Amino acid sequence: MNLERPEVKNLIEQRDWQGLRAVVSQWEVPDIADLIVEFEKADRVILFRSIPRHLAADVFSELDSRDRDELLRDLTDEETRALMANLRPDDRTALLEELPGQVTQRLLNLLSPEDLKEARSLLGYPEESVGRVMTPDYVAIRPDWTVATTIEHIRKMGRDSETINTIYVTDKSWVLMGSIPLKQIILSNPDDKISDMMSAPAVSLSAFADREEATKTMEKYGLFVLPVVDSDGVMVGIVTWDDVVDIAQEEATEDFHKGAAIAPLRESFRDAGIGVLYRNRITWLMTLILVDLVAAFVMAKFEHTISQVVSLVFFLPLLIGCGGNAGSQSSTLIVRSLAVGEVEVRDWAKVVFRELGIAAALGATISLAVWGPGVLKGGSAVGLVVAMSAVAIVTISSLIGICTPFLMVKLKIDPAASSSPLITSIADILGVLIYFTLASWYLKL
Amino acid sequence: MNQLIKPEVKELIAKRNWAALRQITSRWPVAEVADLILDLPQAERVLLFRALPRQLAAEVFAYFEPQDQDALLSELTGEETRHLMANLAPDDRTSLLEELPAQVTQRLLTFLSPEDLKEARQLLGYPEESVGRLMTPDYITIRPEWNVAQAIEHVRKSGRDRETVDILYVTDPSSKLIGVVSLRQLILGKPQEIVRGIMRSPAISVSAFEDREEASRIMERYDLSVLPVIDSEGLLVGIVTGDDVFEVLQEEATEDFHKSAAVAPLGVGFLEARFGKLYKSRIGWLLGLVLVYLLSGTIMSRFEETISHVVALVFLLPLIIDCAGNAGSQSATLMVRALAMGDVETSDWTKVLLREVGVALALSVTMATAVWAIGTFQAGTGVAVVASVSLLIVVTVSCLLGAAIPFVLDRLGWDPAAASSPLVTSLADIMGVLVYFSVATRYLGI
Repeated sequence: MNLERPEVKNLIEQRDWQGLRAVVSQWEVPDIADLIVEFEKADRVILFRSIPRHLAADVFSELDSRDRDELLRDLTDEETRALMANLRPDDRTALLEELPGQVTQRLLNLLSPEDLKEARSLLGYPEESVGRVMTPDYVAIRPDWTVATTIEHIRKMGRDSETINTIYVTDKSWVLMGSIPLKQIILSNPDDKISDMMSAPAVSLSAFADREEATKTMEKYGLFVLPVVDSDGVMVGIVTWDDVVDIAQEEATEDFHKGAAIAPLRESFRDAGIGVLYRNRITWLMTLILVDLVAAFVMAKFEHTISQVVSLVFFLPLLIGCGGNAGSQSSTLIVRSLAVGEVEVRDWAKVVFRELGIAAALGATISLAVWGPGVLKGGSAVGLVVAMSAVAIVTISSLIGICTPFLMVKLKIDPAASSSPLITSIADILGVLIYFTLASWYLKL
Repeated sequence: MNQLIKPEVKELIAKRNWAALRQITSRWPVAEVADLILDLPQAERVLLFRALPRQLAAEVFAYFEPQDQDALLSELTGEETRHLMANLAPDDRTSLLEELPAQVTQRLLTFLSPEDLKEARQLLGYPEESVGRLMTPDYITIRPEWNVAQAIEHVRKSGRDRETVDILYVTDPSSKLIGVVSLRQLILGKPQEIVRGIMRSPAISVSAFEDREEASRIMERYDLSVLPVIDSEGLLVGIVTGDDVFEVLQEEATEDFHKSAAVAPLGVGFLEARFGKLYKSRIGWLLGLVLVYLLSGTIMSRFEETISHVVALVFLLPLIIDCAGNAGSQSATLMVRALAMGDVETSDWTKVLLREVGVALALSVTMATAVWAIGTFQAGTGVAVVASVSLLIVVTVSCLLGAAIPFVLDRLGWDPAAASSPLVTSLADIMGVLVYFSVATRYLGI
């Protein structure tokens, strides 16, 4: 494919749109999208116009939101109308929800009455719900049909649906009853009855469920398509594999960001402006300053102790740092396990119990490691205080790291908010408190 | 669904009515049956498992975690094991053999029929984490010169025991892959159409020796749920299916999460991980970072005089080093994830770092102002000025460090995910101590 690029460049320079269309129509959609992005803005729209119509909508969906926005501006109303009509309904929802309000309005005006109705209803589902990512293009059949009628129906309806690898069985009022893989239909006799061969009830999702449910359900049942139903069990659409993979990646990115105390970015990191990045980062940073101030207050209480043995302070970053690190480890392990459904909230006792042992072992190891340097730099008494504090701080911080995500789930907060910075800051307060309390007591200050 | 039926099932189990159980569960999704078995005490699991129809039993078995598989295997007789192994899908069989201890693997290999043994050996011959280990040889091939009717007839004849027939592979007589046709195209096509005319060619494929991550990248990029696997000569040797690849994707993300918190990759599920394993994967970095912190202690001891003059300085130390650490972790995490997702390339570094300078300055000014206000109130003007000036410097520098380290690691050919929050926090600590006390010594004239 890369070999063809110079050739394409030639064709564009010679303005040979016909030749270009012939070459490009043999390509895969993502490759065409990559090619378009490589060109200057002025050439992009020309190249886009030369793509065969049936490919253009898919190529458009493949572009980044910013590139799409720019391209839309250069297209005429008539071209936009054709493009919107050819977009898959789920891609259309995604486009409409990310564009600025006025552009969305302009696009809605260009939709056919039918498409407009569909777009409105899809946009009516809550953000990040299954309804927003589903497509209403699927094939449904009735239970009393035979295999022959079914195949006839598929041949008629299948061209417009996103996938026909699974066929859904509904009753007259479109209530989902079961499903059959296309494979099974092909392998059966023409006069077999659908009701005898369908698997029922079909695994399904509610349109109002969080889209993460789609990922978990597909993974659990090893399915590539899931039917979506409303509260009455009426089938309203399907969610397909490719969307779910994208969702899983997006959710993982969101969790990564939350894990570092960053509010989820709605756009790609590369395209985000300074203002967006600033806003998404500053809130937690300022909140954590307040938490750190508590540590400062606690320490002020120990002013007397500190002024008597200044060398105590030299080990402060070490102790609170170790506590924070161990706590971040525990918290991250749990948050991820909860996110992929590997650990359920009801497993908490088992997990916390095991953590108790690990935390103590980690604490003991670190304590041994810091005892030597403590004695060397601060004398045997300070060394002992440092070592004792290390066990206590590492153990307790690990436990806090393990418990906070569970607690958040109980409080109906996303456990991913139990970020490394949050745990580190909490560990700091505890670290200061434990360290100086032990020091005052042991050194009799 | 499961919840509704459970009491009834419980009763059947209590009554040991295996025949009725077999009736009920045979219509359930595999995952539900597996969960039901796992809910039972160890001793009863094998009883219900035996009651399952053979094909379902194999699928249920494949769904189990390795430790549950191991436990169940030890309860089964030789004959039962033989049936189970014969009914497993080839890729599930490979992952079973790969995960079990070597002696058990050897024992299991002896239960395989000569044909299955050949298949398993072939799959196992590929390097670990390669596409070859994930693939299954269960697919249907058709010839380019056939027409649609012939192709459908072929699917009807040979499709029954294939894992997936949604996509058919077009090969020449030497089994070289020349194109793909979807079952949908066949159904919607006219019976007399020739396969060559409707197939997609060349087919998107992956080499069996590639890293399995490559398979997931290709499938994600081209929205494929099945991907053909070829050898070095372009011959079709297997397919990888989306569910296996999806697991790989999730595993890789989990690994990156763990690395971001300075936990070495576990290699097994968190819930299954034993005490020793968890300890080992966590203690390495924790001890390594102790060394870094000792350095900050040494630096601080240079400022003993400053500290003993103004003890109040110390009160704000955790705040200063934390703010720096937090802001630095944010930068590092954003960068690591963007690199992992291909959102940012190494070549983008100037653009990204330049923008980071802007963000870092804005963040540090905001934070310094807040700390200045609070510090004046709590610890006096002198300390407040020292704290806010230090914060300005420390936050800005650690943001840049956090953003730059992943790029540098990537350049050196290391995994940028090693730029974990704990690592960046520790480096920020050293810098925080150094900057804070230097500024204090100078400004307070000590």
